[in-house]
Amino acid sequence: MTTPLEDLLKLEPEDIWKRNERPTADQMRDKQQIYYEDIEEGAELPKYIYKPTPTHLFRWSAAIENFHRIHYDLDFGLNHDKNPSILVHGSWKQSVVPQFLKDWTSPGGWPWKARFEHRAMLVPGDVLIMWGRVVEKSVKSQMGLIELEIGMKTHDGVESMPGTATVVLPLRDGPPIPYPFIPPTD
Amino acid sequence: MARFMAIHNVPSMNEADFRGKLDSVKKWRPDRRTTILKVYGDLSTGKIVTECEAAEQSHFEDWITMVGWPAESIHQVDMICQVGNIWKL
Amino acid sequence: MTQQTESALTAEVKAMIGVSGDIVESWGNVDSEYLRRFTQAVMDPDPRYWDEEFAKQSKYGQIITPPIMVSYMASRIPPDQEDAITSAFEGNPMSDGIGDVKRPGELPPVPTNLVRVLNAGNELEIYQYPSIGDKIFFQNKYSDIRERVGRDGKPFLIITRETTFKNQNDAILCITRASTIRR
Repeated sequence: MTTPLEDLLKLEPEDIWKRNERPTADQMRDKQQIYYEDIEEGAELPKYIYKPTPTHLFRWSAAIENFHRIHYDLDFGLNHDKNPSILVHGSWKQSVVPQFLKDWTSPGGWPWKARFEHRAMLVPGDVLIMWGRVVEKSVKSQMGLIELEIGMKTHDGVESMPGTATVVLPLRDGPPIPYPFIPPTD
Repeated sequence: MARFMAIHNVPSMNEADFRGKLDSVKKWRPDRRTTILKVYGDLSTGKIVTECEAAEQSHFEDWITMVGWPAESIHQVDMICQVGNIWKL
Repeated sequence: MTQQTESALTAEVKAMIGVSGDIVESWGNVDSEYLRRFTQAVMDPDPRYWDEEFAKQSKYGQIITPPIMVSYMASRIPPDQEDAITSAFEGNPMSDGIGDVKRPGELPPVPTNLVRVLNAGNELEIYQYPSIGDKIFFQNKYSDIRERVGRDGKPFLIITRETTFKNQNDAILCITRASTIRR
């Protein structure tokens, strides 16, 4: 049972970190399918907690060959761009979203689409909470569509990535979700 | 946004106090637009130098009040040299 | 819109809607080493990315890769180009590391005098996980340009650039959209 977001935000950063629900490899192996019928509107998804450091930021820059100095060159970031520190990448946040949706819908669901905005500069020292909440559900083309509100909040409640997502869960007695994914037509 | 520095006299300063005043993000970044970038401390004399990026000096002064280190003087910073990189702010 | 305020959505700007860039083949292909670095950097330990036996038993039947991973292959500088980083700093010692680097498949600029650029949002649509060995092809397009009026009464533009990523079988892997405000 995930800690409600509003309760999590009342905790100190280190206590938020202790409630990280990012799954391990073994937990992903053993993950059981969630079905459309299991989900109620208002339900919250597990919370993924992150504590980015300069080394995490460097590793991401290197992995995707992003040479923008604001992410690794503190001198440049502070004195040229007037940023509060080196900055967490929007591209990294953007890559957490499909993982977050994939994990929740696994093994047989589908992380179809998401939209979000990047707000607020995030820096090493921030504790970040990737969160999601079910706002609506419907059935189309024998697939369970779940509309989510999503975001990534800082430990002090600042929303850095307000967004929405649509994921697909199988119906308990329905057909498998097609792969490659075919969007519903009705 | 502008850059400021301040010189403080805190004769009772020790390492635990120094750390305690600065050891979490909200202590050196009291709001999203005010950042204490660097703090130098001479613990033997209690002389402290702070550097701040803020929208205006009053926001820096608010942090100075919050941290409880009276400022002997506050200055605007126009130019910086850091490891050979020269920045006009 | 007051009589004194001209529309920013000129005929020249409107003509950019639908303009597409070249279809570009990304350098290299989807490989297991990039997959390892990417998934470790995003901190996703999913065994379907690296455990072949487990991945074979999944509905995908093979190792999968995060679809958005291929979107970063689009910005790879081919090795037959001059070293982009060195060129950037030769041209501008204060380069930010990316601004002066030319990327393949870029769209022509939107002809507007509104120079301030702000992020207005991103979208992802995911259809298929890329496979190890896939070649990746991408194409940029201005999918939408709209005008809005700010609180100051001045018009601004929201420009949406869409990028479609396909593999060598012409299968759509994912579509990304990035919207920017020009004001």
